[in-house]
Amino acid sequence: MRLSCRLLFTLFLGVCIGVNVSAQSEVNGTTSLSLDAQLDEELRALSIDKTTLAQGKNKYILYCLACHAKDLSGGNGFNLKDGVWVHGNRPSDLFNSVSRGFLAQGMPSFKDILSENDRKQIVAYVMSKREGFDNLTYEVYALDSNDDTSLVGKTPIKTGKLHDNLMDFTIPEIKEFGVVFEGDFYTYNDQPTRFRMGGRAFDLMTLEIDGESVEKLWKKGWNPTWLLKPGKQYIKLTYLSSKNPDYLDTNFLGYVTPEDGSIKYFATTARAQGLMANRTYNIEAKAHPVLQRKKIHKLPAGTISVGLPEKVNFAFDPSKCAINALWVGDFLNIGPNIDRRTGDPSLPLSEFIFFAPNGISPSQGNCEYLGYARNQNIRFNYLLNGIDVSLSANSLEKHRISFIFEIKKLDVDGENKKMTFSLPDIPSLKYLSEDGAIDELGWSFYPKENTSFKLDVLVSKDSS
Amino acid sequence: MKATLFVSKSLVVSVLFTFYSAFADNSFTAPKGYSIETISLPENTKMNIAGLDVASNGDVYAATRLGEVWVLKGGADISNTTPIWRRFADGLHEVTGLLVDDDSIMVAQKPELTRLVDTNSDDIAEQYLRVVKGWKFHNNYHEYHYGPVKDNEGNYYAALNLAHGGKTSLAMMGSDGGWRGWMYQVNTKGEFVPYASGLRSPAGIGISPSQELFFTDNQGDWIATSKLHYVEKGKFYGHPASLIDHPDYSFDKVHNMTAGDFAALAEPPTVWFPHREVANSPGNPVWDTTDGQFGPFAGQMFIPDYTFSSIFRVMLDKVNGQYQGAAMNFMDGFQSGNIRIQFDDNGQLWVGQTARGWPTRGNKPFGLQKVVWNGEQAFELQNIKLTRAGFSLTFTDTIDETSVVPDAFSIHQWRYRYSKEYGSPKLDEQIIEVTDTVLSEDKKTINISLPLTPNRVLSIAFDGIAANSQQTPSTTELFYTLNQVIH
Ligand code: HEC
Repeated sequence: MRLSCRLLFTLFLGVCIGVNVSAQSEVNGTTSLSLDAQLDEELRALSIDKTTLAQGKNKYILYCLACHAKDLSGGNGFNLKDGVWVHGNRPSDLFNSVSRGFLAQGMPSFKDILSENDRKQIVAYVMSKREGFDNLTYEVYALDSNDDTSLVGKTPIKTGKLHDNLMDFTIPEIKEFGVVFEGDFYTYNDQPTRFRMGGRAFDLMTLEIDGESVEKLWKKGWNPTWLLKPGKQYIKLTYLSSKNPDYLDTNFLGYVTPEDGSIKYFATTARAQGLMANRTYNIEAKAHPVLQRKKIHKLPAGTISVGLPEKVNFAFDPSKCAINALWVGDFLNIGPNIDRRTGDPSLPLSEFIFFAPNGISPSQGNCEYLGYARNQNIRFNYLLNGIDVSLSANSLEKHRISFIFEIKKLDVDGENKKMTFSLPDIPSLKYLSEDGAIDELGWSFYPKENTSFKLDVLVSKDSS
Repeated sequence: MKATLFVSKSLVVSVLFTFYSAFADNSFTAPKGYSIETISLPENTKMNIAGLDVASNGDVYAATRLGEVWVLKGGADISNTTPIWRRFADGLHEVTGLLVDDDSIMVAQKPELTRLVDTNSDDIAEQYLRVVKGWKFHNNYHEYHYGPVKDNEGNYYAALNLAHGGKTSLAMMGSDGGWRGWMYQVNTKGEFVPYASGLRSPAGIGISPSQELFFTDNQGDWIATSKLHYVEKGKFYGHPASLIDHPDYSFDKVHNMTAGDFAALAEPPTVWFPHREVANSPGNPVWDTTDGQFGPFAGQMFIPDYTFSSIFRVMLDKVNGQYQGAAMNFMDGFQSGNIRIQFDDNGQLWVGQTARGWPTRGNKPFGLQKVVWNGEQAFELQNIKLTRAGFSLTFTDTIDETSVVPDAFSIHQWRYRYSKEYGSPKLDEQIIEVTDTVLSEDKKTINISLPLTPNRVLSIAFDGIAANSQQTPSTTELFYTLNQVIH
């Protein structure tokens, strides 16, 4: 039965699913509810187990990435980290979604492709990536006046569930209101994150985490912000509109950010989600290299980034004449940097292999940046200790990038000064050069000895 | 009786948050004979235009906040009915200024003043050259860069916006150093010369046909309302954050000074633009150099406004050797936020538009339009000059004698507060009676008499004035900045 089903996979998958599902419930026999509850428990435990997550991640990349994206943000398939669950939000629902698939909508059943254990690992991994609220509810209260600052003794005039798990501040619909949003909340385990609300500092917006009220990170000013616990927690946000001037737009923005607030990880309110959705503007190198001079997350101001069609990308800091970042894969999403007032940085579409202050940078002397030329290739021009240098890059094979330093003019005294460049000490990188020496100090050559010097950087395949 | 006086009781908060209330009324203003034409744009790109210039061959260059430069080949050539767009440059960092400079294009992008050179004449720049070093950009979103403009000797001028907030802020806008809040010059040797300080958000800089430099600045902390300044080297124009780079000051020194200390150093604005009445976010000043091809305002200054999606006029008046003058609406009803304007050689006024980050009256996200004049004579206020007894108002056509009575005018005046607060309410607001009106022999000029107090802004409304033809002006209120009376 199983075997034939596999053989007929492409032709009769739908039928097989039907058979399997009914077979499963026959075997399960007893009430599936308690079994689901058991599965929920098991998956919850797995979702905080490091080894399971590492294995789940690898399998996710192999079997799910194509439709759900590397960061789970979705593509052909749904977003798997937000609060919207069409086929159920319980861990067992996710497991069943993966097992059964949605053939008509384009997702195969994984029951015969992956073992039960594999599916559990993947679901645990997906659960661990969850962002934002779950089982979010609201209560709306009517306040007596602009001076009324308490909900004590009041009963809500409206309550309900928010199925997209985003706080929606348009729900109250009355002038003087109190609103309470509460539900489970997920944020990252591996770094501190903040819960930030947009707009004016509201005395009357408070936050409880796991039943305890939390102090705002700053008392005055705009954007009330609280520090989150890692991972899963229970959040209750209370807001009273009293004492606010009339002009205040109470349809607030809300985001989770890293500790330094430099970027927005995900939205917590419906309005913020709407804005986040329009923040993708990916730049891609097709036939020729592309160049973007934009604010980029983690890189210094003024940095210029280059994407090669071979999907090797680097950045150049004109103030130091240094190659100050390297990444392999898709190039850059400038969306956040060209949105509204342009406060947020562009996001590289894969992880940096190295980034500033690490870099391939001149170890001594001064540099004066002159500009760049763009033809088929891109060439940065600068004076390094008085020597007129041009830097270009190409990638003749995958995971290999060559930086070519051309000496356009020696300095006036024509002295044969050694040039040395620091090389980031990264296990996944290997450096090769026939035009200079590589040692623990970096890469060095004598500019008088040739007109062009090439440095090859090899990126090990697992780092991308 | 006079028209009822609108006395603004607006608090600072309402100044900040009620941009839209100014637009409650949906009517648009345009003097007779002027119309707006909309230019179709290249598809599939974000054309938030914030840099604009026209080359002598009729090519129209537009730089965008996305970081591209586009050229509309022969766009200003009236006989060319199907001009095409070419992308001249891309990958730049939020360009907010562009100058056609002989054979190359200069752009003010956030981190750099850059010269773009098309070396092989294919309408695509190959060289992106840094023009000057010496100032700094710190990745703060508000560190915009405006200009450049060029004088006849070959010097360039550009302006560096302050940062939003920051450790060094004295109120809202601050500087992390590197000459933020300064106008700078690139002299003919290519050197960076800090030129003038005290700028906040100087979104428009312009140089007059007689080589005088001006900039506009936006209402905010230390700036009571948007304004125009005539710029002279070494002077200070009001926002103290810039002083931390001044050789005579330091961070500590600046932070120990009072508003009174700063006020004593600051130059008075040449013309105030009352908030929500003339402009909320002015762009670059240009001069009508079309010798009458654009109508009766030859030689005058025009400025776009982003929030109002409008263009307004400035009439300069030299009093005791110093510029002051008046501002009044010229035209509104544009499709998006007007931030750049430029005349071409055919008497057309090009308008570069963007709406992003701040509200605009025009609801399109971006655009390019132009204003054309069909030769029809409109009856409008042509100019205003201060006299010893009051003002002299000149119109573009002969005035109906019977309309010239004191009651045809309603005037009130006020002053602003200089402080770190965001914007200023109107202080000492007062109604002024016109005591006498005299019509000139050619029937085009009215001399009005009224008591004059220096350091006031006057709203002068002339709703009662009509032409002999019974036409009435499209705009009937102007705002005169009376820094000085005639000595
Ligand atoms: C060939 C594309 C494809 C692949 C591969 C794929 N999916 Fe899906 N997935 C989809 C589509 C399409 C949907 C939406 C189904 C619908 O429209 O109801 C979906 C839905 C889901 C859902 C339900 C989401 C919800 O809102 O309830 C889950 C969970 C899911 N996929 C998990 C996975 C996992 C885990 C993998 C890898 C083992 C995977 N998918 C592989 C296409 C795919």
